[in-house]
Amino acid sequence: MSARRKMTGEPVKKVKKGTFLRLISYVLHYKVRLVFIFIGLMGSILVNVGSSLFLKIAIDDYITPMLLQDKNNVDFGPFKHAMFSFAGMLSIGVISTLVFRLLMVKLSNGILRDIREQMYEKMQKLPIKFFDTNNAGDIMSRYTNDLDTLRQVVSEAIPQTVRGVITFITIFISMLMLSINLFIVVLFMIVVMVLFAKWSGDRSLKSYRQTQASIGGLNGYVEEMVLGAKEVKVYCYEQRNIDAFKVKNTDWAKAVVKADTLSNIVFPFMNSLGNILYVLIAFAGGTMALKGVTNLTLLGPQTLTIGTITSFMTFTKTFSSLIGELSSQLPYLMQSLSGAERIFDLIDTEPEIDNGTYKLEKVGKNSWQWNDGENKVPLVGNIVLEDVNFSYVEDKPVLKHINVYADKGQKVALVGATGAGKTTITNLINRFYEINDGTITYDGINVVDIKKRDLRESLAIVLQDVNLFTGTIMENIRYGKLTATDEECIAAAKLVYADSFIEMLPDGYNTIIKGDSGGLSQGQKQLISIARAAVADPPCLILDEATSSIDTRTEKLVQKGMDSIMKGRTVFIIAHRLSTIRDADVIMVMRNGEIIERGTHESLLEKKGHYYELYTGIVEID
Amino acid sequence: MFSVFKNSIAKVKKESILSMIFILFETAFEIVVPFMMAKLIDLGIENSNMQNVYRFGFIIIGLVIGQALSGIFCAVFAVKAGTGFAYDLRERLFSRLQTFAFANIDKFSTGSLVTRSTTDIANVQRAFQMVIRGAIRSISMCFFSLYFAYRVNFEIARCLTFLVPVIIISFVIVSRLAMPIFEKMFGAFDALNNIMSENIHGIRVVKTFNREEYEFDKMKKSADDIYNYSVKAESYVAIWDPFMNITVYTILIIISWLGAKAIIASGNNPDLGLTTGKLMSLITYGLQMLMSLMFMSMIYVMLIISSASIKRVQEVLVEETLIRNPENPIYSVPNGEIEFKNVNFKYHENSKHRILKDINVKINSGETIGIIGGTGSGKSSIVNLIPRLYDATQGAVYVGGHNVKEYDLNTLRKSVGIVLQKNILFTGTIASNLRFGNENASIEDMKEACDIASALEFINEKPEGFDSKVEQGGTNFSGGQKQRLSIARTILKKPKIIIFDDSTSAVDTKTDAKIRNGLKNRLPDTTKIIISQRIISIKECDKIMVLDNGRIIAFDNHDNLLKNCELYREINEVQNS
Repeated sequence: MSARRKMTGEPVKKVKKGTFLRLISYVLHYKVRLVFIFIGLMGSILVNVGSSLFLKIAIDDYITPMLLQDKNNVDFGPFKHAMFSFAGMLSIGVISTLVFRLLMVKLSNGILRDIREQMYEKMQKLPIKFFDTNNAGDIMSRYTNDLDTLRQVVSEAIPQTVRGVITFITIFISMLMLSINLFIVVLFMIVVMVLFAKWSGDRSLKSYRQTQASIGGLNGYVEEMVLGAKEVKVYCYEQRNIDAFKVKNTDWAKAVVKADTLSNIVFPFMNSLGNILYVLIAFAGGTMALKGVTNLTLLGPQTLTIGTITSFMTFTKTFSSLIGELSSQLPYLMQSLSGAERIFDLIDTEPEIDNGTYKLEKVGKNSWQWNDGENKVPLVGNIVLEDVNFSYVEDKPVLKHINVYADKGQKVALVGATGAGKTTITNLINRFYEINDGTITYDGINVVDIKKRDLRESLAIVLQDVNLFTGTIMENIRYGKLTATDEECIAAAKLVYADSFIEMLPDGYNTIIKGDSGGLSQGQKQLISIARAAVADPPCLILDEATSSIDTRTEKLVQKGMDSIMKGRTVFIIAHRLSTIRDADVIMVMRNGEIIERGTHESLLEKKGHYYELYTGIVEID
Repeated sequence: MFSVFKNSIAKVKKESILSMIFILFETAFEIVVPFMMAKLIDLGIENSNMQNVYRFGFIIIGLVIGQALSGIFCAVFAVKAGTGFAYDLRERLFSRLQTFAFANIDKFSTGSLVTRSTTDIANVQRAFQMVIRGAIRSISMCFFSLYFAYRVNFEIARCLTFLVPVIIISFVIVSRLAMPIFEKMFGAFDALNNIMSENIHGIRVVKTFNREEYEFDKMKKSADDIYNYSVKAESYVAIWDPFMNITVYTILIIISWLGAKAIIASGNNPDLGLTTGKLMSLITYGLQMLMSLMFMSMIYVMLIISSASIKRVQEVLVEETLIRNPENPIYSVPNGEIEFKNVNFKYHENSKHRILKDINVKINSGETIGIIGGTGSGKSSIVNLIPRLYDATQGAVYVGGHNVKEYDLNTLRKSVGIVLQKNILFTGTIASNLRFGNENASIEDMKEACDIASALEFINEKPEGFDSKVEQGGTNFSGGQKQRLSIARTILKKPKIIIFDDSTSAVDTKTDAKIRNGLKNRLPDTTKIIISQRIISIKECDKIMVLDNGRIIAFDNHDNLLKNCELYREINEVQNS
């Protein structure tokens, strides 16, 4: 078995600075689109800010003068004209917003597609070691949860923040152009608001993480108990289960109440601070206007008019709500960037390397040839391991001085307890893992010099845990050789006695396999997986507990078909059930990474050594 | 639709009502504030009257404090209500799961039950919180704004009212158009996730057959689907934004135009009609109304999205257990005698295929019975009927002389121990797993049980003994160790009948024999049923049941079966040749 390291929940760490820049580099791929988005965004913001001044202008410049005219003969002409030009400006705003939003949708989805494709490509290039050392759920969550968080960051959080920041700057400049004096009042309030936002932000982020942890604990418990539901029934554990659940549920509820209350009171509080600022500006502005204090602006000293004060007040409202929004959003933005970081980590993982030069070509049914670019030699199928040492983790040797000689057409059996190193040997032959020292040769060629693709093409492995893919049974058998005809697939199924049960299914070979391959027993799935390997028609076969779930009687039947598949091929076979391997040409008995006995069934029984103990059931093979 | 949630909602009635009341206060304050701000501008700033500025300024500050306080109270109660609701719902769902019979669990599949009790329930909670806070807030906001608008100017307010259905209708149209595309998008995500998961688990197969590019093409195709659907679906959402802009701007223009006319007519005299200050507050009301409508539409979308989750949670809550306690149950099982009378069994009511056919058999108390047969012959099904993990479709099963349906379920299951084929250990320690079967078991009891199950040896080898950690699913134990712990766990229940469903398959023959001997000598009065694929494990049984295709084709001891039963002989030959 492979050395599986359990991934425990990794602690939330600080996001690297590079992550954000790297994300931006994906955005910069779309330069042209980005320019249009920026133009649209600016148009949209400027019109939006401008429209908040519209009423002021309408009242000051049009309605008030009109009031001075003769009541029965008011000239609405200039006002109508102003309204039309205003409507024109607004239409530009609407169009800009439309352009900005639609392009943004394309941009964000384009970026995601780029990242996604990189991730898929990566998945196919990662070495087996990556999958063995990382928990499947953890890898999966990078492809699902982390990508989804990234989607939210790219398509929602970033545009909103960019929009917010630009609006913020626009209003900031507008305010300074109106009055620097009044802005000092605003500045004072901003400090208070930012301090409050930071205080509450830190706290709510902390309790948000606590909530995540406690919901994780609660869900973990539920998951374990639902998956073990049958055990719960059998041992009458129901009531105790509910009691234990209640404790966890209560913990969760407490954490949520704490976190949510805090984050929910932030908004009304900030809103009130904004309203108070509004009033303060009225106080300060009024006093300044009355006392005739010099009003400093970016455009030089100017008198503080009533129009200026009201406009300034309008800006104050937008400004304060923006501060609240931005400061509460930033911590979450940072938090979600950690998802992006995990994605980039995956993309940066070292891929599998292939420096092989020898090609292996198929020239006919069960006939292959070597090709090193100059010479073409027919393949024989001799596999030799010489003095191979291997360890998954440094200093923990799994295989010690292994020597195996498998000649063409020979059936080599590996026997021993779990952890003895049987599967590891097969993982080395097809280079799922690289050996530490020693050599593995294939027809005298070091496997390192063979193109990995070709090497694997010539070695079909049938594993104990069958993995079928969503699709029909026919498609799953054809997975071994994509060009196989229906007849070839059916012939393979017949060979391994899978045909009879497949024909019994309502849709026969067109039965769709989905999810847990519901309906098929483990044994039936194993038969399909053997058929899949048979279709591939490789010169060398590795059967790793391939028939472990097939009952002894059916196995006997399957054996005949298996024999005909194995004929003429080099076969490595690992089996728990020793009856399966009795007729092997050579049986290697393994213990703790060493081959301790080798020989035929008869000679090993005669020897009365470890094999004898295993065969007679004196020692547990596990 | 929400009737099953009634009880959970009732639990948080007080909090919900309080939060709604505070929302009403909060929105009322929020509406009055702009009203006062208009006055502050009209009567204070415009007239350069500092006294009025201060007067209205302090009124506003008072209102703002009121608004903040009601906002905070509302948040406190709304969170309590939302969490309390979810707490109750989770508990209800979990408790409901505990009542499920095996058949109920099979119907949903454990994977789906996990999703329903984690992800789906979180969605339901979110929907509930949205409704109690957002819906009430936006509806009351909409009404308040309109009400104040009418108070200010009837004609303009009427124009605003006309906009409400326009916005609602256009929103419904947009969401109707967008929803199917969103569904397709979610479908594409599911398909892709399925491919990813199959690839992660089946990576060895992919690499063995060199199908990297083939799989990549599959993913790429799926990712292209996602891209296309996402762009389409999100474009609908994106159009919504400029559409809202248009409505906002229309409101601005309509109000300004009509407002200007009204102001001219009144001569900007508050007693005669509209003034410039009031015009500004009208605009605020118009925008607030719009905001609330927008918010309502968001809630609508949320509800649609979570309706699938709501449905899935509901299905579990209304699912009735297929096996329930009888009225006036029997609370003790007299002995370990078992009898099947004319039993037929199917997993599904409607399926044509009978798993067990015409089973008639009697097992005396204290006997040891072996069961053998091919895959799918009905070995597990027959024993599952004894502790009522499933109920017979026809006929009846008797334990200790009574129909199993007459017993209290706990009593029956405590008396009938079964070691399942797939053993699951739970996170905790060896001791906590052993106590799973009997919470009051003492250390001595555990030692005794583990000794019988031949588990004591390896437990003693561990430095922490019975306190050794067990990881989820028991992954840090070998198959044989897990089986032996499960056997010990069942023995600890001190049952009258003990069933081993192929539960020594990973144990070596010597240990297997030792366990059988231990059971024979130390639990002599217990009825033992052993299912095995190995003849060697059952040949010494008092009687052996040979099952083929759901029928008992022979029931006799080893020697007689060798003589009379062809199938048994065949199995024996295969295993001994």
